[in-house]
Amino acid sequence: MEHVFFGSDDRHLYNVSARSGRVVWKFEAVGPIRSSPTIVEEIVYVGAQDCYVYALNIQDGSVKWKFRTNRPVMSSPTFFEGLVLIGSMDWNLYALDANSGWAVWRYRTGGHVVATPAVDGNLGLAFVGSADGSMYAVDLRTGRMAWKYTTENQVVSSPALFGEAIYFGSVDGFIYSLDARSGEVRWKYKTEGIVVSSPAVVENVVYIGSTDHRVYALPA
Amino acid sequence: MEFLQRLFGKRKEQPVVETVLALEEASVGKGMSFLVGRASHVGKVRGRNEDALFTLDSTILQDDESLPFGLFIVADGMGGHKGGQLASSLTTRVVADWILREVYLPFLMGETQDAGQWPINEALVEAVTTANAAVHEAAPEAGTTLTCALLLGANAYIAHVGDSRAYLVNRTNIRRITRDHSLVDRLIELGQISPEEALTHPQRNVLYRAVGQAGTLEVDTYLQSMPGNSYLLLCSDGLWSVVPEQEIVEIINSAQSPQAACQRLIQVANERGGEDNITAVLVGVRT
Repeated sequence: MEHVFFGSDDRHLYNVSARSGRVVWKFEAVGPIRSSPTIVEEIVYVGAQDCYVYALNIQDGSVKWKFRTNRPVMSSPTFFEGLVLIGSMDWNLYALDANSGWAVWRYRTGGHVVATPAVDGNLGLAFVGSADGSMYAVDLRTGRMAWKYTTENQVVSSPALFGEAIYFGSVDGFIYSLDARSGEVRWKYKTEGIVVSSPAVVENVVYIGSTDHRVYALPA
Repeated sequence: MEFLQRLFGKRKEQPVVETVLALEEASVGKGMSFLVGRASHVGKVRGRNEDALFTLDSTILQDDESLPFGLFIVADGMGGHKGGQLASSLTTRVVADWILREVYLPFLMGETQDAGQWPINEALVEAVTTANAAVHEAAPEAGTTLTCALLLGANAYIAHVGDSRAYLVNRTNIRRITRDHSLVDRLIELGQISPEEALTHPQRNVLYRAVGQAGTLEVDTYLQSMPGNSYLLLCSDGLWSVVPEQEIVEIINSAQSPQAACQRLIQVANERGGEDNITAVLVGVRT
């Protein structure tokens, strides 16, 4: 049976049958859930406005573990080799041990982290934007910054990886392509509005929306 | 860069005394478990064993699901007049004490983790930094390597200084996880000597980083996801310098248990001369 998992401002995470729309179970957090859940090996990982990151058993929604950050969590979790990567409004990017919820490392940016991290396993890097205006590449092994690139305004867009580059938008109105290894700008494109959405890359074309009411398709 | 020279002293051949330690096996509930072996031997040349080890293997069973927690340490001391012994044993105890207090006990106490607690990487670095200060105060002329692995389920978190090593081993392959902080390893990186030449290089025992050194100590940390039915091997250079990596794979996979594998590894190292102290800790991850 296929299921749909989603959070709500009514503070619940729902597991709904895709076929019937019937609620299979719901988990009640203390605050709204605007983070999108990630499911790996029968565990549902999700962040909530109550400052917690939750790991729930997929069978019944019971709590396997929960990790408390210092501010609300709007970022969505990314799973990579036993680590759950997630940003928090407390300015940190966290890497949590998926088994126990224990923090493995945290990297403190200069602003809220509401974007969802992306991971390049070959480079051993996690990429995440911050409201301080920078895109960060953080070493998955150590939690130390490998590089950062600073735009002219907040980065709330979640980066997309394609080939050897990452793509994201900024509130400064630009769409950026950076070399994933070095952080050097490959190209940037100015739209006529702020860019808060996240790109998709298909067959060498980057698709991303801007608040100028346009969707852009740019060669990767 | 501070270089620390190991002190050698040829002694008459010592009788080989097997270090026999009990095999621990955890197999409860669903999920993962560890099989742990460990052994340490003075070798056939040295007068005392300046290696130290620590192993802790525990399992928390909850809702019929087990979450194993393990802490495994190998340290190889250097420095005359028992200084090496003191450095390795003190480091092992300080690091184990620190991790158990700051990570393990809070971990036992509840399901809620929080941003105020030490992240594992920072805890490992802090533990080694504390040990560095303790050794420098207690034995200023001595130092030690340290390879420490904290295992939480299938994730291994490793802190490392010096030239003891951590390896990931499966049925056919072996991969070194840690990087040696030795002069010869730098020379290999620079392409000036080959790995084979390093084994007989006259300065093969010179370290540029060791626990106990003055000033700030840089600690390497590693994350290693452990596949099912793989092994984590921690060992001192008394093993890896005389037993080729592929032979280590064969010994581990042909042994009846990790404990038997450790004893066989030490036996083989002694058959190759046993010029140094030999220590091996082997953790099998079973799913």
